[in-house]
Amino acid sequence: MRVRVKDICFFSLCLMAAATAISLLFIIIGYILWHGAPAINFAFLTEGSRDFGAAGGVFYQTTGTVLLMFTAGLIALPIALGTVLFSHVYLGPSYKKTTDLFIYALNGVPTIIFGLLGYIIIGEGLHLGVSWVTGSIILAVMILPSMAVSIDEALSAMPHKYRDAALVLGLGRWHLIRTLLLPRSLPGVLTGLFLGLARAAGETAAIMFTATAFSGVGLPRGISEPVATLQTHILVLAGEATNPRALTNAWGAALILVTLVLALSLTAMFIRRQVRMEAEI
Amino acid sequence: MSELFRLTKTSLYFGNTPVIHEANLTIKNGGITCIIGPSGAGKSTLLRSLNRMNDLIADFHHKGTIMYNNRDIYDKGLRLEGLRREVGLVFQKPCLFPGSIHDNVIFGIRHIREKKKEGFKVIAERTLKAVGLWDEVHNRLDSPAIGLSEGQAQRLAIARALAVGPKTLLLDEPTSSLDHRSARAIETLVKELGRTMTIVIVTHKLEQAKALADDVVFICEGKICEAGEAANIFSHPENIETRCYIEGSPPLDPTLPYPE
Ligand SMILES: Nc1ncnc2c1ncn2[C@@H]1O[C@H](COP(=O)(O)OP(=O)(O)OP(=O)(O)O)[C@@H](O)[C@H]1O
Ligand SMILES: [Mg+2]
Repeated sequence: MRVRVKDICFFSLCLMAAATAISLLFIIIGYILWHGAPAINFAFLTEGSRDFGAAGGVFYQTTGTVLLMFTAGLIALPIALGTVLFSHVYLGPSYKKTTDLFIYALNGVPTIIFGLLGYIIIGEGLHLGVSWVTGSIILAVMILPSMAVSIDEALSAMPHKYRDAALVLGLGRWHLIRTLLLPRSLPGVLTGLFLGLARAAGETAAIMFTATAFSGVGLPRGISEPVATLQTHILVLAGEATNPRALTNAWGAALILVTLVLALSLTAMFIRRQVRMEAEI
Repeated sequence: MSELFRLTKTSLYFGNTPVIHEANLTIKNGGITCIIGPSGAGKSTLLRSLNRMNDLIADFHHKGTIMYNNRDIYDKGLRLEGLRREVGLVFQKPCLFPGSIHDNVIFGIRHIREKKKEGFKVIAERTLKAVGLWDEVHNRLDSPAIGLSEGQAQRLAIARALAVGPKTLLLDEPTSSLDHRSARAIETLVKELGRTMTIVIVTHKLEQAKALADDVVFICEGKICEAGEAANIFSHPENIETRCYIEGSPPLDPTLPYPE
């Protein structure tokens, strides 16, 4: 009897928590839709911004965000993959624990720290300034841990017997990687990539003073030029605009950004589910 | 006949507990050597140490020396991949890779250039024929290997090991999970392979050992109790534990009460 009461209490608590989380998500998305939808039209998506964001669109900001995001992914992916493969194939179990710890610790560093360090080390120290390349490197460092964790999960989920069965045939480490680990880690790589991209797209603090400029920016003509991003655009418009048109445009930009991030996260989730189903066969 | 393996004061540890304690043993070149003994005696561990497959286990370490062809297998200059290609091993439970039957047979040789010249198809056919699986699978080489029965999977695992071209094959209880007929098929295969290569096979079936072995190594509780020619050991076991094991009665334990 008492157990049942406890069960019911626990169940309702869980339900309430879940309901809160889900409704919060819907409230936020609904709110952004409500305010942002009026701004969205063809011109908004395809034109550059004018008049400090009060007129024109967010074409350069959108492309800037996507550019930064993909460059960061491109830099981070091989490093994350390499780290994980290295720790799986060449390091003993105890060393692997140390690398894992390092990766998790890196994951917990507040992003503003990445921004500051990046500004000091890469921007000032290496004289790369506020630019596409500086921002990409910082974002890459930032999304590296979550990518590595996701790849590591995919590899750790592989039963040891496969590794043993490959090694016992006299396969060297490189061939073990090529014939077994790489194909096996592919879903983890994709999940990690998309989650990392989503995180990079949503990030503001780390790129605020390392990669982006607010106005007068078109497409960067080289990697040493700054890029415009949706994130900074929203931040500046929301903080400083007095013109109501500019505020609506900020909401419109937010809507685009949220759509982008959601699409990436959903893709990652979809791939992960496919993998689960495959693993259960 | 010349010796192939020589173990000198070899101890094998998981953590701090020795699973094999100061074993001295030689295994002849050619023919079939059977390792027998009660469960948990350390048979698999001993077998796996012959091509260093224990090294993959986190807290494993060893003492003493293990020589293969008069060479220390822990020698710095020795290539581990080379050793494992010469000394193949098939686990107790066959572990097939996801992928087709053909993919599985050639898994260990896909990257070896000389083998590519010979042709993977040719090698696959030859080894599948050697294990007697060709007639059963030749018209579905490209279908998933997962669909095979356990006996077939075990033979495929042996074919996969043979494809690499080992001079020695280590087999860990290859028939333990098989029905009588599949077990007989494997025994016939092992006997056949024993004519052309060295086979070291772990088994706990006495009948199997009697049918197959040229030499026998009897292990109990991590010690080599007796080793030598099969005919001798089965007819005149010197060691009390061996005799009890062979005659099927439990060893005498003075601490147990006398049976009523
Ligand atoms: N990976 C491992 N880590 C720790 N201990 C192990 C490991 N593998 C085996 N052992 C221990 O080593 C001892 C010998 O095991 P082994 O598998 O070699 O025995 P076996 O003679 O092959 O037995 P069976 O006939 O049941 O297969 C056992 O006590 C076992 O618990
Ligand atoms: Mg065993």
